[in-house]
Amino acid sequence: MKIGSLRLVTQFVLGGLLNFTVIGGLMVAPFLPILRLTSVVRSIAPTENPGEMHLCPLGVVGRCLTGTWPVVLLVPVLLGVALVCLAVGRMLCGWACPFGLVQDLFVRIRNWRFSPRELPGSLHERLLSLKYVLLFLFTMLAVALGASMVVDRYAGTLVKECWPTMCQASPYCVVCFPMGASGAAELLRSFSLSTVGPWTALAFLVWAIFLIGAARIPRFWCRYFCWVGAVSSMASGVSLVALRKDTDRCNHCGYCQRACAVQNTRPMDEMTTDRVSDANCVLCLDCIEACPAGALSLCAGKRRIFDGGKPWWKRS
Amino acid sequence: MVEALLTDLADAVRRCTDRLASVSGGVQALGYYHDLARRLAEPSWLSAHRDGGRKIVGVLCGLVPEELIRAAGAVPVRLCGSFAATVLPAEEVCPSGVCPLVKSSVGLALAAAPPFPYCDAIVVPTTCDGKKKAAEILSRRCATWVLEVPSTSQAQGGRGSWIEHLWSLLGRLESLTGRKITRKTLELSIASCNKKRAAYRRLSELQAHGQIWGRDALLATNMALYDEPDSWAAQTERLCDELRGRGKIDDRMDTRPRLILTGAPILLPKYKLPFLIEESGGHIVGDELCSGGKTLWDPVFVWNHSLDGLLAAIADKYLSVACPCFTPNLSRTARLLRIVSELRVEGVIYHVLTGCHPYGMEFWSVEKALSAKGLPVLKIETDYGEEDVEQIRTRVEAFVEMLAARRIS
Repeated sequence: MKIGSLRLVTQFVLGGLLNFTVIGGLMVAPFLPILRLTSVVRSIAPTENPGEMHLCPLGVVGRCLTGTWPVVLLVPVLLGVALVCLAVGRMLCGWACPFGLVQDLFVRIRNWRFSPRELPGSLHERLLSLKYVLLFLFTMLAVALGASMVVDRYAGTLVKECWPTMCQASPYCVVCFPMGASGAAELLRSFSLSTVGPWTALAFLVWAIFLIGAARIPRFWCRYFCWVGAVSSMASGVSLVALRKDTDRCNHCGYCQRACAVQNTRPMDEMTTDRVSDANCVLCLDCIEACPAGALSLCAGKRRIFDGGKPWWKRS
Repeated sequence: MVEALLTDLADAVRRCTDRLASVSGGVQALGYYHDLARRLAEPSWLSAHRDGGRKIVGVLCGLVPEELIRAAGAVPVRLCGSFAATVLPAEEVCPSGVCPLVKSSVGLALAAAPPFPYCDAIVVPTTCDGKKKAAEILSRRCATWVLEVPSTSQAQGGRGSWIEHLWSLLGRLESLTGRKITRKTLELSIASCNKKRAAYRRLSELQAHGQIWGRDALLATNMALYDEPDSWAAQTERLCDELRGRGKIDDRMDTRPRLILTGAPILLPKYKLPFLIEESGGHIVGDELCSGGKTLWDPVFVWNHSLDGLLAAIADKYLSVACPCFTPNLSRTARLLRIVSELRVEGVIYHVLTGCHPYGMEFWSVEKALSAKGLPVLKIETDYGEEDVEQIRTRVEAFVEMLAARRIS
């Protein structure tokens, strides 16, 4: 099986089915007792949505600070996020995120018949930090809202009103939560934009950026906007699982760069260290398949986990 | 006089082929390549294509994407000459410092020797100054298109202009053949050329195991320049099957020092260097020659199936060829180091045609990179004459002996 197909199946199973509220909720409901056992977080957190499996660190921070969830939950949740990120870097972005799945489907359609597109290197470099700025702003907003609640208990009411609507503006929540999707449902019911609140309008704008971006540039959202990915990308420089290059085998042909959805140039350019996954690398492993020299591999520490199998001239 | 020259050329090809055939160790499947080589010496070998209504496009270098030519329904034919007999007539128009390959090609054109009279168009890439200026001489005989190759393969700007030049080549090919190059025809020609490259890699694996003589493997890859990719791939698969059933070609193969050839092309009938190496007790386990593995080593990697994407994939493939016309040519040292470690090479023979400046100048950086890994390199600078055979033999024998001695110590 080709890596791309394997990834699509994995994304569909992990991301598509478990994360999407409606299908995921129905699918997961019978197994909830087991899930509660396997996940510490699940067992103490109030479940509003059985299908919501992925942890949005921002959502958790927001809920804990605004009192929807107990504040002590912050510790295990943040610890868990840190552990996952340190272990696999951005691999969940490549293999489990439903938004990655949607964007990868766009890439597939483009590569099937439409001309490739690439952002100029300088613009790409400049846009890369945008997601960290967004992460900072959203975290600060959550902290500010939480803090204002401590200072003034009347503000708490306001915050409780505000935080869920914050989530509504997030494209993740539009998909993952019924309350986020309610804006879209309202729009469908009344066929009028006038019933749509400002937060839902913002959510639509975010969705527009996501979809138009995905249609033009591979993994546009992941590269420049995704503040959840920004959290894990901070760890991908030191994560246990990483993309490594056998510099002795590298042909310097640059095919890895062509296969890369996030314009990572390190697999080709790096000739001194063997760790070549950059902060944006979602470990989709397409470059391993593209490499005619078998120089790239997915490693846990120094151990090779996956190196593309047979050389290209022996594949059927 | 031209008649006499043609007989001369045919004799040279036949003599070399007969010599190869006489020491091929009874490998039946090699007969195909010998027949093909002998046919090259006949003046009319290209007329079958012509009778079939296909246009013939002569190319003066391996950096012209054959996928494009085949997608347009034309047949690419390598024009690089390798005849001592045509060097002399060319010296009337070429300066003496130009390499014998360019001179020989120009000489063939001046004498209207095949394949020149059969060409409907000629593509000359700007891979060296000799070829670039030869284009002007060739254009007197036949429509000649200059394909501009960037001087650097790494920078974005170079890639962009290379893709643009390929687009214009595509347009010219379409108007020559009257056939549109579509997504489908291009995808098919890429697939069949990749099949050829895969067959080459299987053959070179057997060569590294000592199951075929280096000179025979060189002949087989050399013939890929004149054959249809599908039939060449099929024949080479057959050759590989036969070789797999035979074991090592020589009982003492393991005692022979493992060598690779790199550098300027070695084309039929100028096989003096491979013969000398294997007669001196070396084993050629692989090559990185313009005429051999250089363009066949890697496939075209298609990641996007639009016409734009296919053309970009072809462009990237040819930019990744370790041609010394690129500077810096990081890919060359990287590839050599890789071949060296993969094939457990003990020594490298660096072939330079006298007057080939790109390969001549690049010796410095290649030798530095290889000797940093403790690998001895022997530079052989030669032309198409036979006067220096014994001199080269002495040097090659000493080199092989030195490598054998290194094994013991």
